[in-house]
Amino acid sequence: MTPPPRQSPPPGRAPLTFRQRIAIGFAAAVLLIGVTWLVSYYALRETAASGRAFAAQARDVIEFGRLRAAIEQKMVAARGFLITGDEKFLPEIGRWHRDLQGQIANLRLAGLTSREQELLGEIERAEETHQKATEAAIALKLEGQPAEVFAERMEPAREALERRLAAYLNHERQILEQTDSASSRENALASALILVSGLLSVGVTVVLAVLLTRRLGHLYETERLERRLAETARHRYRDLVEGIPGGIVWEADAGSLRMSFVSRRAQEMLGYPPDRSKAGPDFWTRLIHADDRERVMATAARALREGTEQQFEHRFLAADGRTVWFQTRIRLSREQGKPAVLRGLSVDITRLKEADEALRLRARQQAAVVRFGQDALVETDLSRLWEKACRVVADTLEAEFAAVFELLPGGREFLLKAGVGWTEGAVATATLPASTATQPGYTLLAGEPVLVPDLRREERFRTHRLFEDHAVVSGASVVVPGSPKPPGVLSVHTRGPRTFSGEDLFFLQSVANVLSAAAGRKQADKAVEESERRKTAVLQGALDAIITIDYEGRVLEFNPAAERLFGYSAAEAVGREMAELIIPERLREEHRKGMARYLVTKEERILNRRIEMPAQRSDGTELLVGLAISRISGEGPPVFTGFLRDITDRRRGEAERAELLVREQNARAAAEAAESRAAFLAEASAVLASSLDYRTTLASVVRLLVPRIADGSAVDMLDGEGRLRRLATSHSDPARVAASEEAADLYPPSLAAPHGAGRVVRTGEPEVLTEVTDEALRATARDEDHYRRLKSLRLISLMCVPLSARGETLGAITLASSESGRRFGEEDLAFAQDLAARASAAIENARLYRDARDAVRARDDFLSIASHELKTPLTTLQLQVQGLIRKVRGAREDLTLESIAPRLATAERQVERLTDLINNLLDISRITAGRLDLQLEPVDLSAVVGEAASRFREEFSRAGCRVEIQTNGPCVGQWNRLRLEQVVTNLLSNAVKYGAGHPIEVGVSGDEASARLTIRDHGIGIPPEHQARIFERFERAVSDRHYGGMGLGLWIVRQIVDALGGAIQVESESGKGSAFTVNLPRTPGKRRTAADAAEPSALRG
Amino acid sequence: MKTVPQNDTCKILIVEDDPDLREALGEILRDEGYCVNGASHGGEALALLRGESSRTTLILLDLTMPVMNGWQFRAEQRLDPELSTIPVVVLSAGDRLAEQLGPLGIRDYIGKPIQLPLLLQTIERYC
Repeated sequence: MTPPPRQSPPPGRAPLTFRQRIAIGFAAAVLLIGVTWLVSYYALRETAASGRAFAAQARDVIEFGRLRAAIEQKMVAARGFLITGDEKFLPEIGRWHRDLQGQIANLRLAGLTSREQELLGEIERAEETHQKATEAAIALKLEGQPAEVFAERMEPAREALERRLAAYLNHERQILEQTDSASSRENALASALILVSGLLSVGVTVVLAVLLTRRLGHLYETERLERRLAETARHRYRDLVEGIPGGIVWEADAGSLRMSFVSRRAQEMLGYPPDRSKAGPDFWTRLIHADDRERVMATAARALREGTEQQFEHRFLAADGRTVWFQTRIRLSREQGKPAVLRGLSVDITRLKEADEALRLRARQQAAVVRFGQDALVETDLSRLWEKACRVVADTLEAEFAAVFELLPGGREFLLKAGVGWTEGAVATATLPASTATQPGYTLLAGEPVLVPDLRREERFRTHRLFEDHAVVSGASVVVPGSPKPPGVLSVHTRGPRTFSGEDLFFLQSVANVLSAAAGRKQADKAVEESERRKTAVLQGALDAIITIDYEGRVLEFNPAAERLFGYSAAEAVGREMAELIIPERLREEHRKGMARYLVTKEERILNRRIEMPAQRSDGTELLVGLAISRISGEGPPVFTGFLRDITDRRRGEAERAELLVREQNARAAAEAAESRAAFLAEASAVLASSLDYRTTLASVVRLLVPRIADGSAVDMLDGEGRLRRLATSHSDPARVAASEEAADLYPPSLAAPHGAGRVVRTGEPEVLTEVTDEALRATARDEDHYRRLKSLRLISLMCVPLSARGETLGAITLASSESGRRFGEEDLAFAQDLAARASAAIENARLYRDARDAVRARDDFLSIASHELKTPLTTLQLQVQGLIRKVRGAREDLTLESIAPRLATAERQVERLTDLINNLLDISRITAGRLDLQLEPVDLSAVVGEAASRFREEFSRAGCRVEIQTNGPCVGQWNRLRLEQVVTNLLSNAVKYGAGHPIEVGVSGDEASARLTIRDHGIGIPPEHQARIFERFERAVSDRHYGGMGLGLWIVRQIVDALGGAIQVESESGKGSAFTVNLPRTPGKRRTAADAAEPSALRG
Repeated sequence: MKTVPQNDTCKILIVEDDPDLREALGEILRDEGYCVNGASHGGEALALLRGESSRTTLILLDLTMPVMNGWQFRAEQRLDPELSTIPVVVLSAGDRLAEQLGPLGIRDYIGKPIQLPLLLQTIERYC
């Protein structure tokens, strides 16, 4: 809590001091209290006065009340007498009368106001009147007058008295009330005054008290704060002082040198409790090390004298007996009014000092090691080196003894090889067991430095006579490193107890390491010698030529085998450039370049690898050598060693073997290829056999070929018109499939083409274009666009084989190679032909199968139609016969010869019909079987027509057909009579059958080259949709329901007409009849056999 | 001597394109005393049936005929309420007739070559 800030006072007026303010305050308070007191006093007095007045008044009232009571009593008594007539009341009346008179007199005396006096007088008078009345009444009574008489008399008096009494009473009451209210007023006023003043004074007092308290509080707070601050400062100071690490702050009186303050650190650092440390100056002085005392005292004295700050180092004795180094700084301090004080700070520098010492020690030790190391480099005699080592150790570590214990071969004993401090003769003779029971033995086994603070009390191992004899107490040992086994142990010993430090051990080990290095070097030298010896032996004895060269290519070593191989002696070879000696001249430059490159780039091209190269002998002959070169690594420029062997013979053998291998591989490859081809062919055959639809199977085979056999393949087939059409295309690149098919569509292979499917189909011979040249493309292309398209297929090699069946070429399979780059050759062609053969066989099979199936179907059709046709005349025949039989059996009256005859005629006719029909059918079968052989001869068509007409005469008449024949004389041609008759007969019979009841017109005409036969009927006619079909063999579905037998005849006619090289047409309309026209060439031009006639449909199908 | 039987009530229509057969059949049936008419194809038959004064009792129908064959005739006959009730017996040389007749709604058929006794028996059923 801080004191409120002081406001600066207005200028010109001295600030009121606190005291003044207090005084004023008190005065005010006192004043107020005084005032209050006075006011209270007066108020109270007034209150008391009014109280008294009230009381007096009240007394008056009471007095009056007594008066009134007396009057009342008197009246009562009077009345009593007047009513009762009892005389006892009379004295009472008198008494009361006297009483009240007396009271009145009293009242007067008491002091009344004029008004009161007045009123009282009235009362008196009234009373007198009443008395008199009463007396009169009494007299009357005594007279024995009735009551009413005196009552009458008395009443007004009584009333008047009553009135007067009441008036007085009222008056008194009024006065009382006035007094009362006056009194109250004064009371209130007084109370108020008291209250106000009381409050005021209390208030002021309180305010004052508060102010005072606060002020005092502030002061108190401030003081408390300051005290605390001081306290804190003191504490901090003390902490600071106490907290100085390693430092003791102290204060001593300058005169007496008595310590007035010693920081607590003293206890920590030195172990002396504070109370003791505050003891006299002697206490501290005595603690200073004797050697330093004088110096310290002198310095202190100077500080006191000169008043300067001084600094010095000295030793203190700590409570536990340690010696502690301190650096102390002292200063004299004089403060006003205070005695001079010597202040000081002492800092513990023991560690510094120790570190210093250690550093110095280490430096000395290191120097010793370095010196010893230098000696070791120079000293060749190892035993002298051991001795030197011992001396260095003993000197540097300031120990009595040093020793080198050499591990003897066998590893069981140590020999004291060298030493310092030992008795004469001990060195080089004394031995110790190398077991862990001894110090060296234990050290050797431990492999680590071993510290021995006290050999006598040592638990790890036992002491030894050697040590006991020399009274050794402490020591340390280290192993002298070496491989494979350490040569021994280096140790140091002392007579007195001593704990060697880590530094000491380090030093010891360093010395041991130097020894080890020296010993190692000796060993290494020996090893090198040994190695050299061995190497020479190897080189000498090797079978391979071993040549070592330096980085310039000059021979360093040339072993006997090299001498033998190349014909140079080692003496000749060493120092010469190897390239000159053994590398043929043409390769020398390359070799030199290679060497140079290696040296620069360090790229190892030929190192550590078996290479073969030509070499030459001293006599100039060449040979083939197998060579392996390795680099001998080491410092400085490289050295290379080469191992060479004559492999001329071996090489040859290898070459032969390689050739054999290649041949074998080729053979295997060929066999594999053949196998894969055979597998492919088998697969292709399976595909081809899978279905009769050879179009689909061929397409599958084409796809199968890609990409195993070729990059692309296609098959083209001849269509019915003898054009080559693309059946299927395949390529590993689908775009090229489309391109090829498009080209084939736009430019179907022409049979005249010089290359490709066209040529193959034309010639029936396969074609192989091992290289598809540009010329070949140009020759095949029909125009520029075609050429471009062909070129876009990027054909590299092409193979085309024909597909043929029954000696006829049906199409071609083409194989192409593009990306794979393979060239087709003889073997490929053989394969392709094999494939083509299989495909052709498949086609053949398909056709044969289909032909067979067709033939079977044809036969079935034929049989079916035949049976159908035969049934009709048979039925008629049978009916007739049966009818006749019935008639005959029945012996009916109508069985007359006339009736029988026509029946028999009909029967006969049926038999004819049957015969004809059977012949027709036989013909058909013959024609179908391809046996319609036509022998041609001159035949007169007109004559044939005439004969046929006459044969049909009867039939014509029966049918009601009038026949008209029109010929222009003979019409002769090279035809077959029988067959021509057949034609005419069939046509006529159809005309009769379907044109019954109508005329029939037959006409023969013609010109030089051809003849024409026309047969017209006017019968039912043939609707157009059937006209095309009637010449077909038998379209069962339609013709059989309408024209059961008609098809046969017409078909036969058609076959014959075709065979004769002619043509037949029909003109017809339903209901209007039909006209058949046959055109025949007089001499056969394109003579096609029935076989030919049969074929196209087979091809087409 | 037996008399020629007369069956005036039975009028048979033979629909057959082969004239010989038609004639032969007609003669035989006339011998048996039936009244016989003939038509060479379905169209003729229909015209005849529609135009006749006295009703035909039975139709003997061949199937394979030009212009209008048996099947077509039968279809027409069934459509015509006047004619549909006239019974039909099929005469045909074809095989598997039974299968074909189901759709035609015909029960009886005579295969060719015709066995006369069988034919007469069949006709008697209707006449």
